[in-house]
Amino acid sequence: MVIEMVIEMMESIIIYAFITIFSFGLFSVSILSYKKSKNRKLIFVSTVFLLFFIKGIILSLSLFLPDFNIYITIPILAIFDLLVLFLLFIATLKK
Amino acid sequence: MFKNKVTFECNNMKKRKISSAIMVFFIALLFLISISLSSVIADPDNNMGNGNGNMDPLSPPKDPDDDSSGINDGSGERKQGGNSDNEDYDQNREQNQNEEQNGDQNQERKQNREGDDDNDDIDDKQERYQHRKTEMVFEQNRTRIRSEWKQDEYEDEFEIIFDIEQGPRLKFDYENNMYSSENELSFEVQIRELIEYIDTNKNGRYEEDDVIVNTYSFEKTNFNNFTYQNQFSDDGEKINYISTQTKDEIFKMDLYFSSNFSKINNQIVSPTEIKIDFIINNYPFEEESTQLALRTMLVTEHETELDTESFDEIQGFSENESVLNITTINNVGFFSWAETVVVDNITKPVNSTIQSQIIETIRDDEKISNKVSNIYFSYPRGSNILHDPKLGVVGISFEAFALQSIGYLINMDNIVSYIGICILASILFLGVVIIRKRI
Repeated sequence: MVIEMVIEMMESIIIYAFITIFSFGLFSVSILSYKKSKNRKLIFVSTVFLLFFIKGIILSLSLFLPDFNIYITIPILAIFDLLVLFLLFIATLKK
Repeated sequence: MFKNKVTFECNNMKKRKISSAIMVFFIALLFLISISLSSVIADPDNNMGNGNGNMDPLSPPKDPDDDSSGINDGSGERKQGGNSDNEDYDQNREQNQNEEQNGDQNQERKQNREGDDDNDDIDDKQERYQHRKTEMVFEQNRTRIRSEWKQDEYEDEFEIIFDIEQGPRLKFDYENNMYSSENELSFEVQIRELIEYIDTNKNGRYEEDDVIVNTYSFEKTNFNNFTYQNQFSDDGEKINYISTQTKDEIFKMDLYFSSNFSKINNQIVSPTEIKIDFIINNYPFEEESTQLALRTMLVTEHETELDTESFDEIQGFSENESVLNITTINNVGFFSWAETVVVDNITKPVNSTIQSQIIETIRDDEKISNKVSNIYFSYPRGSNILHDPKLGVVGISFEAFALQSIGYLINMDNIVSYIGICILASILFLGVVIIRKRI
């Protein structure tokens, strides 16, 4: 039980850390790209990465603040995914 | 033409260099990830316990050769004379009799306990965490003790019914919600009789071959109604005291229990157990060379296993105990006893003999196998005999507390690991971006 707990924790740490850093990096890159190209599609893409970054921070906090876990439910995380899909949908359709 | 060829070769060389750089970059990254994770993944068992070096509370050490109770063979037949029990038991006793070593270990455990403001050798955090809610229903010759514990998502409860209608009998039922199955445990301990016997082979213990001179059965003996008192333990914990004795005052039984860890007679009694004192006063011996044995009987549907080191000993709560563990896949109950007895104010060793049998009964059209273990405590002859057994369960509160402690320890490591992995992820991200720019 203890070993399983440790492995589960380590998996979460790796995944959440990578989500947070990569989403932040991609958000920065997309913002810089928007500044250069002024393509409005990139605003939506940047927002998508920003949402992923916020999600990454929330998930990371849940690792270290056990009391915070009660607020992180599957529906709340699903709302983030829904917003991401919606923004990508707009970015794809935008001319 | 020549210029194009040179440009092409230069591009190829550049690509090869970049590919090599990417490979080296990823290998270095994997190496760094392995190093940063190794501190957390390596031997997580070392973090077990409550920070004082105790190991898994639900896993009392088991001697691989220990079949000494002879209970687990499933033969269903009574062991003749219980000799094999005794031989193995002696062997285990010898292995366990390095008292100095045990004493040092316990001392070390005690020294490791921090945050113990009341100086009862128990971590205050553990005391707060494992504190139980206890209810009692008192009757003249029957007591029901119900004890509950709840922390976070875990809870457990046990009930002990102590009655003296057909001799002293303690019925113990326990259940918890930590496991999806096998989360119940029940057993019964009956105090049956005193046996005056001639120790024919002079081995200091009662065996079936010995000649019985007299028996004093408690089944038909009248006991005085219970006496209840609230007392305070050595460390100031409120303890409940129940006492009863035979009308002729030869045999007395005292029970002590508390909602929290309490220190009674230099030993720690956990809230998931009951300390019992057997007191024999002025037993009327019929012959001068006879010895006295007390027969107790443990009845359970579960597996039982004799061990020379009790859970309390492992935890450093007490010393020199033997135990009959009642085990399911997930739970351990126990009936333990001190390996010494005070006879006329002198501490002497107790010899125990265990004989087991399986009795099958049919209840509600269902065949139930009960394991019945007769435990004979052979006492040195004397006027005043005081022996000290205990019964209880290794509640999930011990494991939950250990897990909570591990969680805390893991958390500290996790913060470091998380920061490390964030740095590595950043290096990976920036590395890929830089390489991409160069291409």
